[in-house]
Formats: sequence, structure tokens, C-alpha cells
Amino acid sequence: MRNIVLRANDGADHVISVAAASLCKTVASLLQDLEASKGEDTDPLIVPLPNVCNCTLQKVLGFCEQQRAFDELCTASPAAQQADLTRQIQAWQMEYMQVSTDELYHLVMAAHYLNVPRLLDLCTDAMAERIRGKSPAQVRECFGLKPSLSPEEEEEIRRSNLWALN
Amino acid sequence: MASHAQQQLVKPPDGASTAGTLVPASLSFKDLQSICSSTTIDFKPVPVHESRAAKVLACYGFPGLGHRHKNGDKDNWEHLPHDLLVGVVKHLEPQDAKAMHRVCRSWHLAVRCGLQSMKPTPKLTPFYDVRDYFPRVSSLHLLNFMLKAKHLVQLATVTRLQHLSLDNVTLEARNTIQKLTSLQASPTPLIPPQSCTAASGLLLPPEWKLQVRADRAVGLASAMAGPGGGDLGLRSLEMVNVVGAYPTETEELLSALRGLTSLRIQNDTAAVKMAPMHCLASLPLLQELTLSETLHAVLPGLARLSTLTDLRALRLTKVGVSNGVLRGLSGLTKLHTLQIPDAYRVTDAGLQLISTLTGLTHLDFSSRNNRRDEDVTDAGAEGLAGMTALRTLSLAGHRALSSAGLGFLAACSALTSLDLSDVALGQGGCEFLASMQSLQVLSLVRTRLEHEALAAVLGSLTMLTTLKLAWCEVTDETCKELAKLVNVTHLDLRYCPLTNAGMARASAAMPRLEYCNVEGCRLTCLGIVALMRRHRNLRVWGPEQNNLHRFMNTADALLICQVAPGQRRLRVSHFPEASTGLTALVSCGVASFFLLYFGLLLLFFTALFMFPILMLGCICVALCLAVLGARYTVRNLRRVWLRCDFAFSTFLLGQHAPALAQDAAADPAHPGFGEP
Repeated sequence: MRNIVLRANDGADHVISVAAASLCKTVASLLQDLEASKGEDTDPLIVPLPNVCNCTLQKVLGFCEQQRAFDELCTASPAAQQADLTRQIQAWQMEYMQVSTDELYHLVMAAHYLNVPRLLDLCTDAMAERIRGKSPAQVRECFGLKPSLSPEEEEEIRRSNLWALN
Repeated sequence: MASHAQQQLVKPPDGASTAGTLVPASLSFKDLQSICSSTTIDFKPVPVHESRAAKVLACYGFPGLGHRHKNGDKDNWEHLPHDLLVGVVKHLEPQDAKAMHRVCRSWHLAVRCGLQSMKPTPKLTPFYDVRDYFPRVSSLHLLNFMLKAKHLVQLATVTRLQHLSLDNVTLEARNTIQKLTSLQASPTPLIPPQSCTAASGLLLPPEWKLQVRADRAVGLASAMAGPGGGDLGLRSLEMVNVVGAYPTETEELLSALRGLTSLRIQNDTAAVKMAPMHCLASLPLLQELTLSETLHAVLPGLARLSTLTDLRALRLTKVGVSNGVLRGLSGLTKLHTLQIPDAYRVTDAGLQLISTLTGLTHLDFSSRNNRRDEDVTDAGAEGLAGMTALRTLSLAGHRALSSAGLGFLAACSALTSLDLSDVALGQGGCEFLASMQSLQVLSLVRTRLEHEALAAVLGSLTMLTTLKLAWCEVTDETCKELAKLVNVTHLDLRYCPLTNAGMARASAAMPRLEYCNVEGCRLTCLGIVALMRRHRNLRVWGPEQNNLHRFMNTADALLICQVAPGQRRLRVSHFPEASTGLTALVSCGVASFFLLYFGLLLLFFTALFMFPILMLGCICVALCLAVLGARYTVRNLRRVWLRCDFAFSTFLLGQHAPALAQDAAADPAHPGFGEP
């Protein structure tokens, strides 16, 4: 099985196995199309990713490799150890998501671009974690957002459907 | 960089990504190829497959890049792709979604599009808002509502609703609940869907908000639902303590909602009368059915359970399950969960009837009270012998069962949870447990198992996380076997003849211990302190045992306060050596106080009758005291007393407690104390 080279926007190359790359749906579909149209190729396939910077790509690929390893472990181990393994995976994911808000932004955009469903789920959960228990102003401060709703809109929200989300 | 230039030049097909979101992944490679070949770009000489990959990826490209260069990193949180934000909403609780939807415009839209489940507060506002404002809401949980007829009419217009939960809802008029029948699947949507490109979900044009305002009257729900969105109908209905719905009305409603797959009716109060459930025959799609009562009502409709061939899970609590009902179940081959606790009318013959349900994975046949027509014996348990796929099983409370009838359990190797509380295992032992390697939860409360029987099987059950051995003969010797169970987090050892040494040995081997109830054991205060020192987050009392002040004295508080500040509460009913001296002192003090009090009282009354003016003064004082007494009720005084007691114990703790503990540790009479 041949390897794939993912090239970040600053030109750094990362070699990754097909199994791990298949977690990125974008790369996987690209691979499928190329295989279908061209057949077998011995050269490593170079995929340039203009929207992903080097360090983010590294982190995403770390996730892919780790998940693949966990998957293999899961299928190999007996049912009795599954619970323990799940706990390990959760602990690893928890540590993996210890990132700053900026890093999280790059990560979530990269995950969206490369279409890694599991990482997306993890990232959206991390975002939700940052929103949980805060007021709108605090959320804005956390994500560095400017209020873009006009006062009239705010007032309309408050009047019309405050009850629904209270 | 070439790829950047490409992204500027290569235009995707019309309208595909102008909205500022992803091109749907459904575009085929051929489409992309044709797009790419129609533009004229000079490439550097690169290997052919790389350039093609670059072309494809450029078309997959997203506009976040442009924003990043223009505005800097921080502002881009606002321009996250819409589907991503919707993904975030799915992780949020309703009250957090409320905060999110007032942050900024794109987030606001994401919440309005993405919110699927809602739990409104009981303010009576029109439900039309739900339909228009949150078009995707499909699950509604109404808690503590007072509903009038008009509200139910409005609620019935939320046709996208799939899950409706009425929890502690009061209906203010009769014949209103039938209005909800319009939530049933209708062949055509109520309003024909608009021509809407956004129907498929991913794309939302920026002018979407304007459209919403313009045709709000038409109903955004239909526009967003798209073709075929309206015919889902209500799938699951929960009615918990719905006051004001008469049995006949409920019956009428349920027989109209033919699309239901999950139904739960629960009455925790005697004020609500359960419908007789004749409607079950008209709900052919039902997969989950939960009926729960407080009084043992008899529901004649249960005789028709045999018509629900799709049923997967059935939970019937106190609704008069008899052998006749079980006969109807025998044909339901898809059933995997059967919970019939407190089925006091089921006899041995009834259990034989369900022996055909070999696919069952969860069976709860416990019996918590003593009301029983006829005890289920070992002969009945043979009916369960064929159920080898069982994962959880509860036979708690059947005192006539013995280990002779439970031998079939040895074949159930998939069992993860087993509850045999009160079963008479004492004579025959429990050898069948030895083969259950995957067992995680085991309850043997009040089975009176001897030390030998326990020691023979406990060592092999290494997967156990919860173990309840209350009222069994767990001695220090048994603890040698307990020490092999390293995964245990919950341990119940109430009223076991266990001492400090045994507990220290067992707990040292269980690093994950979170809960350990040792009420009534022969543990001393010191043993418990040692236990709590080893496991910092250990709870040693159950949630039902929060009446601490009745069981604790200041001396106990001293030692326990020292362990961890959060764990001052403890109930241990057997503290011989820690409190005898103090108890004697306190009782002496109380006795002398009462003697003194009665002496003074006698003296006072003698004086009172000798001087009438003094008596008038006393009546005034008594009145004042009565007024004050109304303010300082017994409860308030007790609170003040508890606070004083705690302040006193912490004061003493600061002064003398470490010395006290060290003295105790040096005492050879308590070998279980201290670190190993």
C-alpha cells in the first residue's frame, strides 16, 4: 500500500498511510477519483492543501493516526476490554483538545476542509464546551467576536422568543 | 503560490459557493474536471497527478482563507461554515443555545436552523413561534405547563414534531388533548413547500434572513422542510403525570396517532387515572412501550399486546401484569427488553409462558414488596433457562428461589449485570457465578451467603465495577478475595462482620473506589479515616443517608473534618470506643441540668403565687416569648445548633485533632489504622 504526501501551505510535507488518510473524507474521495481514472501508480501521491498550515496539519494527522491505531486496537481486543479502551480514548481526546481558541479555530477549519467527521465532532464539542454556561457577552469575549445584531434585532429576539430558550 | 492564484481564478459553477459555504461533496470528479479545464491557467511544470489534485482541491476550497487575510484571525469565528455552527448547536443544552443565538448574526441563524430539541419555560406564549422561528425543532419537552385549549391547538400546528414529552402538565379543560391528533402523519404537508434551494440543508444564502421576515406569515417551516418533510408525524410521545386528561380522551388520542413508535405513560400520583389502553391494538408500529402506575391498576388493554409484533422494549410497572398478559408476549420475537417489576400476579406458570423469548437481553423480574399471590419458585425459574443472550437480569426479592433453580445462569456468559438480592442462596452457594467472566454489576444483598461460598467465586469476577454484598458474611478472610477485584468503583458492605484490617486490605487493592458503604460494619472511626485517606474522593454514605446530625457527635466530626473539607458527612452507626467517654460525660451533664431546671422551676412557682404583681409580669414575658417563638421555629433553632456544633468542632480540630489522631495511630488496639 502506498503512502500519501500531504503538503501544507508553507510547503512542508507529511507522509501518511492510506488507512489514516481515509479518515479525511476529502482526501479519500480524491484518492478514489484518481485511482478510478488512472489506475496503479508507484510514486507517492502529493496532495497540496493550500488552506492548512503546517502545525495544524500536523495536529490533524496526529489525530488520524491515533484514531486508526485505536480502531485497530478496538477490533483486535476482546469485548471485555472495550470499556477500558473507550476510557483511554476519551482521556486521549480530552488531552488532545487542550488548545487555545486560535488553535481551535485553525483546527476546526482544517477538520472541515479535510472533512474528518470524528475530529469535527470533537471540535464542535470543544466549541460547545466554551459556550456552555456563559452569557452572550462572555461568549463574544471568548471568541473575540463583535456584536453584529442590530439593537432592533436584539429587541425583537428578546420580545418574540425569549421564552423558548429560557 | 500557484494554488492561491488558482483559487482566485477558478470559479465554481453558478451559485454553488457564492453563499460562502462549502460546495456540496456530491459534485463528481467529472464536474470538477470540466470546471477546471474551462479556465486558462499556466501551471509550473509539476507531476500530472499533483496538478490535478491541486485543481480539484481548489474547487473544494472555502472562503475562510480570504477572510483570514483580510480581517485577521479573530473575526473569523463569525464566518465559520454554517453546517459547522449547526454542529455546535447540537452539542448545546437549550439554555446555552439561548446565549449562542444572541452572539452575532451568523450564530443566531445557526441556532435557529440547528435547534432540534427545545424545553420551553412554562410561560404561556403561542406555540406558533416555535414553528416559525425554529423550523427544525422536532422534539419538544413541556415541563410543568398549564395548557388551555388554545395552546393545544397551537401546539398541534407544529407539524414537524416527532418527539413530544408532556411532563407534569395540567390541562385546564376537558376534551382538549384530542387536538394533538393532527400531529399524526398526514399524507401531504399542510402548506405546499416553496421553491427553495436551501431545502437540502447545507447552503443558506445570506439573504435568507430577509426572506424569513417577508414571508413569515406563510410559515418558514414548510419552506425549510422541503418536499417530503411534512409527512414524518409524531414518533414518540411521553405523558408523565398529565392531569386533566380523562382516560377516554387519552384513549382517543392514542388510537389516532398510528405512527407512534415509542410511547411512555407514567403516573406517579393517584390523582391521574390510567387509560385502559384498548388503543394498543391500533398502534402497530410501536417499538417501545412504557406504562407505569403507582397503584396496582389493572389495564384490560394489555391483553392485546400480542398484536404489537414490532415491539422491542416493554416496561410495565405496577399495571397488573398477570399470566394472561405474559401469554400474549410469547409471540413477540423481536422483544429484547422486558421489565415487569412488582408483577405480583405472575406465578411459575407465567414464567414458563415467556420461555419462548430466547432473544431477550434485558429482563427485570424483581419484586420489591411482599405483596404476592404465589411465590415464584425454582420450577418457574426453569422457564428462563433458554435465555442465554441475557445481558442484564434482575430476580431480586423472590425469596422462594434458591441456588438449585438458578443453575441455568452458568450458561448466560454474556451477563453483565445480575441482581439476586433477597434470593435464598445461603444453602446452596453460588457456583454458577464463577463462569460469568464479563459480569460488571452484581448484587447479592441479603442472600446470607457464607464466607466459603463467596470466597469460591469472587476471585474470578475481575471485571466487576459494582458489588453489593450487604448482609452477607464478608469477613476479613473474604477480603483476601475482594482484593483481586481491582476495577471495583462501588462497594456496598453494609452490616458485614468486617473489621479495620479487612477493609484496609480490600480498599488498598481498589484504586478506582468511589463509593463504599460500611454502615453497620465492625469498622471503627479510625478504620474509616484510613479508608478516606487512601481514597480522597470516596463517598461513604448513600444519598438516602443525609440525616447526619442524628447519628454524629462532635468527636466523630473531629476526625472526619480532618480528612477532607468536603466530607464532613458520615453515618456510621457503630462507634464503640470512639464515643463512650464523651457520651457518658454528655449524659451526666444532661441529667444534672434537668435536676437543676426542675429545682428552679419549683422555686419560681412558689414565688409566683406569693406575689400577684410578679405573676402579671410573668404573663407579659410569656406573651413576648410566644411572639419570639413564632419567629424562631424548631427548624431554625436546629440550624443554629448545627452551625454552632460545626464551628465548635472545627475550632477543636485546629487545636487538638492532629494530636488525637496520632495518639490513636500509635494505639496497638487498632491494627487497621495507618498507611500500609
